[in-house]
Amino acid sequence: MSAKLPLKQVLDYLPPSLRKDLQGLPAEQAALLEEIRIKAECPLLLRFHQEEAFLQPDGSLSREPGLQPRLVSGDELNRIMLLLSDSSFYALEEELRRGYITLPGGHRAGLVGRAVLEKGCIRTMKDISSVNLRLARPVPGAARELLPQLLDGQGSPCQSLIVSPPRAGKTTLLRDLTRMLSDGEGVEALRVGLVDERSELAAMRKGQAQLPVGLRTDVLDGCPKAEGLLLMLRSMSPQLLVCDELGREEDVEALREAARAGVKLIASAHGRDERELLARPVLSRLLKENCFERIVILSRRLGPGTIERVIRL
Amino acid sequence: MRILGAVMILLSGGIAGLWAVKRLKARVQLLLGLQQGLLALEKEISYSVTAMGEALEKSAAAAGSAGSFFRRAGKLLSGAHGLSAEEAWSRALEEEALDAELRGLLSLPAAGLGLSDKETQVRQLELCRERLLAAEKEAKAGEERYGRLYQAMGWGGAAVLVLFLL
Repeated sequence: MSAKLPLKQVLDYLPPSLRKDLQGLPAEQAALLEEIRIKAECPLLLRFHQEEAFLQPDGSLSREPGLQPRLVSGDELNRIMLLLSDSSFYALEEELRRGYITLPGGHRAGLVGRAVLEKGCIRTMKDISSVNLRLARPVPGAARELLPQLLDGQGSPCQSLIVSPPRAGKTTLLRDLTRMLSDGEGVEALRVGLVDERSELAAMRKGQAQLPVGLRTDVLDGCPKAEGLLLMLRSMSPQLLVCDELGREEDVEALREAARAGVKLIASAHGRDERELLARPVLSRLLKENCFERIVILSRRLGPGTIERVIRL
Repeated sequence: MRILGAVMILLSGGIAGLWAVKRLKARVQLLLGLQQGLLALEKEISYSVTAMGEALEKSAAAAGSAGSFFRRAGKLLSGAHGLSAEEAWSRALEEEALDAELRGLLSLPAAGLGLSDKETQVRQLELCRERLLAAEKEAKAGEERYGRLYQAMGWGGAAVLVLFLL
């Protein structure tokens, strides 16, 4: 994938006045761009891998906003909303309730504004004040080194938990593991049931996965994990289940049900190490019940996706 | 020759009268078609939650002979013109051969088109439709009142002219 392709895909959702300012970004910077943060009447902020910069009127970047930064006008923000919604704001009720829109290519436009509540829950949002365009960068092959360590003697995947602090690459790794197991890369291909509660793994859009999760993967998008795992077991006869961010009480029963059905699970959870895992009641219980055969600890020590250790239980 | 001329004058008068009546009928049909198009658009937005470009093209089908406006707006929005729904609607309105009254009525939903939630959007279109309905009733009344008169004037006027010339 060209380094500038993710940026190019996202620029389609900016009005021409902003687009031309960002089109000139050099390829090496575009490759590191993670977010474009937009607020009405505020400087346009770009977040890169390890730093952030404000866009200046002449198209250059600087660490400080400066005296006359490139401000995003209210009109430009409206235009962005029109482009994101295809001039169909009314069609985004579910997306506005969740606070994000999945774009082609798996990118995400996070939105905040004024919440409209109904019975205490968010029904929709209006008067959008901030948009955060997050660029997706799948990394095919990210799990190549890890996968062999998650297989048993017969070459089948073990029940595994990937543990990492925020932004250490667990979602990227989990996605690539799903893809490899589904496509049979280095293993026998499996029917994978992916419960993508936060729509970050497959980035479904209009029924199509925008990020590579494998040919044999069925995706249940936006569904709470516990319910989703049980539904997947009942309806899609998976050979492997995958989900992100395990940790709630109701997840336990779903895992037990999957185990009774003989279906293995690979999941992820927040944490820096085994000690943090044990400090969380639900995960501690799962560990004590020997629910997992492998624990993978990730960090950012040598960049996102650094595998600190793989613990065999 | 005189008789032939007289016949031609009578026929011309009659045709002119019929044409005037046809125009009255056509206006009623146009107003009806526009209402049907707007109603279809409301349904596409409220029930099917169809994206605006596609919704406009579907509304064109429902509007029948009055569909060209919706079709054009839909094409402008779906094409690579970079227009907002409001801009596409307004531009389609400019390109359409409509009288000032209709242009004014149809320009009502343009403001904020595509930028509102479902209820607000449908309400805007409903308001426009109500005004078109009022215009349709007026046009129908006009057709009833003046239709026969124009026909009679056509034939009668031609007859008077023939008598005068003869």
